[in-house]
Amino acid sequence: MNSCTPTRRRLSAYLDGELDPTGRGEVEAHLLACERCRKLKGELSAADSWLLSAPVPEPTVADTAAFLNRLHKKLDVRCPQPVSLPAASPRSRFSIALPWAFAGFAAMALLVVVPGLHRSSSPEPRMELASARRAGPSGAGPSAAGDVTGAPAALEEASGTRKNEARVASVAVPSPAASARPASHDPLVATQAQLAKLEEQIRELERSVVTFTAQARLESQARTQEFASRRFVPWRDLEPSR
Amino acid sequence: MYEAAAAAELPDEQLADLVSQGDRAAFDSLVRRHHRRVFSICYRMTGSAQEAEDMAQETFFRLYRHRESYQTGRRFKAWLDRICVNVCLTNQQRVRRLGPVVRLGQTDASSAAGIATSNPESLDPEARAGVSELIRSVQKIVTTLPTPYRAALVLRVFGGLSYQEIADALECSIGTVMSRINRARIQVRNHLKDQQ
Repeated sequence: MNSCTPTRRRLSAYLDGELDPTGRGEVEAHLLACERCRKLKGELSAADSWLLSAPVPEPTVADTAAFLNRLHKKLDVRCPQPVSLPAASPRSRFSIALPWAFAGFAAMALLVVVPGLHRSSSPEPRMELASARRAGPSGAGPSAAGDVTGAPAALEEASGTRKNEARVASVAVPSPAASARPASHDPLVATQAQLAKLEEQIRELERSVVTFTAQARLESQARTQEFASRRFVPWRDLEPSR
Repeated sequence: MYEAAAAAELPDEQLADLVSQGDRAAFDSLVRRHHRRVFSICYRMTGSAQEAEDMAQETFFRLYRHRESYQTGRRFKAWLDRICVNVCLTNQQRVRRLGPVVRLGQTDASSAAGIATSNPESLDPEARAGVSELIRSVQKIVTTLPTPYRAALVLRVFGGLSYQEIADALECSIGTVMSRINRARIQVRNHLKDQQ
């Protein structure tokens, strides 16, 4: 490597005052000893001066005002003032989420309860079955009194393919001893009362679901309208600069 | 909110913080303060007053669009110059690909000569022709420099940035900046020698 090379590489930095004291000292020491590098330093300095001697068009105050005006128009078109969406308060979030959560719960409850209810809420076969059961001990039935297993024949007649219902009903059918008990202690009556209560609860749940769904739909529509009425930045303007 | 008059007193960095929150008045103050310098850099980078005007506008537009990416405490001038250089380099790539944009009814030579000095009436026609010639030669030499060298030289000589700021703007090391500026100056000096 030529002994001038380190100095020549740092000559611009020296002229710009960007060298640390050690580097500056080294360059100055070399410049004192080397005429060629001194000449180059003078030429680089002259090149800089020559570049700066050419005037640059200078915008006047009026130019800047016009420039700013054009810039504002461009910003208004391509970069409109951002609209800050109001932060959803925990209460409003809750008020939206609660009806939906409740509606979901109610729907699940309906799915679970209603099929079972429909299965067991056909009064005619059950009543027929019950009457068949009660008729059993009086000699009308084929089997012995109190024999709950004697029900199947009547069951088949009464409900045809509804074997599951028949099983439920056969369990619910009281024995002759039980039939002597007061009606208030009759398990069938108690079950019917429970079913009636459940039906009432389900109707109540259905009403709640309808109410909350309507409310949620209204809120959703209101938010959609509010959202649609705002101006947003086009997606391409959101790209980060490269 | 602050008064517009007080904005003139605030340093660039505080104004940039306000701009990052969407303050248009602070943005206007920054534009007024830096328009001339940005235009000068763009002019040296593009060699055309028309293009420089467009590039300056694009620079401030991008500044506002990406205002939220300004990091508090960062030197505003370096950030602005980085945007400016990126805009000019992108424009150069476009020009190389598609050719220059020419506005109808105005030639760039006339506009460059027309606004070459802040007080053109003070020059007689001969001196004015000399200035125009000087501008053309400087622009010719500057625009023939390789783009990385030109960007570093323009930011140093016409933008007045330190090597560290140029390194930040061009995303390279100080050593690279030192090397690019040195080579650019040597090329300018060689052009001058050839002309003589």
